[in-house]
Amino acid sequence: MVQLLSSDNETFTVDKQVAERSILIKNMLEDVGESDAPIPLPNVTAKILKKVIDWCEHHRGDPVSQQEEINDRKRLTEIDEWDQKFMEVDQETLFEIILAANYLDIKPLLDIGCKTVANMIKGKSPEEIRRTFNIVNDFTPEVRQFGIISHCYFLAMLST
Amino acid sequence: MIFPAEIWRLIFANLSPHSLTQCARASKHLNIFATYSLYTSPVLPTAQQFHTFAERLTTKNAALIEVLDFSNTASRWSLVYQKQLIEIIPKCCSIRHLDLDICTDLRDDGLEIILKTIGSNLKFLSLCSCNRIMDAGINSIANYCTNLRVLNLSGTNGCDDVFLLVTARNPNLESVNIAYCPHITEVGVRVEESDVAMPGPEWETESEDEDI
Repeated sequence: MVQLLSSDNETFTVDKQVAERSILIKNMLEDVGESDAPIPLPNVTAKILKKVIDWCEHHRGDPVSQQEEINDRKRLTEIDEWDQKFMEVDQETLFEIILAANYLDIKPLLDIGCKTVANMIKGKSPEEIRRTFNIVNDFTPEVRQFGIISHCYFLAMLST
Repeated sequence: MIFPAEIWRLIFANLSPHSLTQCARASKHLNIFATYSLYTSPVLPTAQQFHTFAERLTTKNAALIEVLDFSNTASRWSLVYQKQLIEIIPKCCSIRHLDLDICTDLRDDGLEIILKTIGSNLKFLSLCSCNRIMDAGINSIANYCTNLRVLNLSGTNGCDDVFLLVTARNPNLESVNIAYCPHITEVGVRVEESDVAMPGPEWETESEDEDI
């Protein structure tokens, strides 16, 4: 068993196999060796760490090797049902899960998170994208009228 | 929604050029990352799109291009001109993968201009069926492309045994395709196979070639 300490000082006890879905933790354990001291994770809150551990529990049996290769090939395919449900959270949480997966180096989770965000963008106009992510249109009126349009003129050509 | 650049890259890898253009128009912040993803490996399925691309490509955006692959551009044999290729490719200072299959307007002088500036960056070069490339063009590959891993010259005319000698000294080469090269003799191939330090490049001389 491995103890993990969140940024807000909550301790979680998990199976070593589960914790090692995180390459960061795996490497730490290899460097430090067996120890009872909890591993501090200063970038992850208890709320997010709990979600991440849930994910790691569910995916504990997944093959770890060749992860990267598989991810590359699967890039454009769908997210499986369990993961889809798992990602049905508010935006704030989704973004924090992505940042945590990046920090903890859990590539498959990072990949699913990124796909979920990509799916939120697909088929939306710039205005809808702004609304979805609460982004302010910070282009100056001049750029808005000429700059982006001429720049995107050819970009749009690429996509037709 | 503040993500580091590498996460934007992962997110945008799942999006089509069309969705990326929509993102580029949403805000300045998104514009930076979407532009980056759009230009890394531009998709140019028609010659018309290539023309628009070539006309509008700025030096700044050209520097973002890492992969330039024309092998899916329709009518490139008659509508992608050397003049445009030598105008845009030398601007792509980050390019490492260049595929000019069947861009038959490309000639030796054009190839030299291109390779002189960016040849040493290239890890992958394919000139499959560029049938106007002769000795001089092949020489510029040997002179400038010193870091190639993969080289496809199938169906070009200028390749001879001497060229094999030169390329075989490049320790990075993993694969060379010289199918349909009329001036390569078995002697040349054999010399190279024995001359190359282990692990040597794999020489493809068979006539099957899926790229054609």
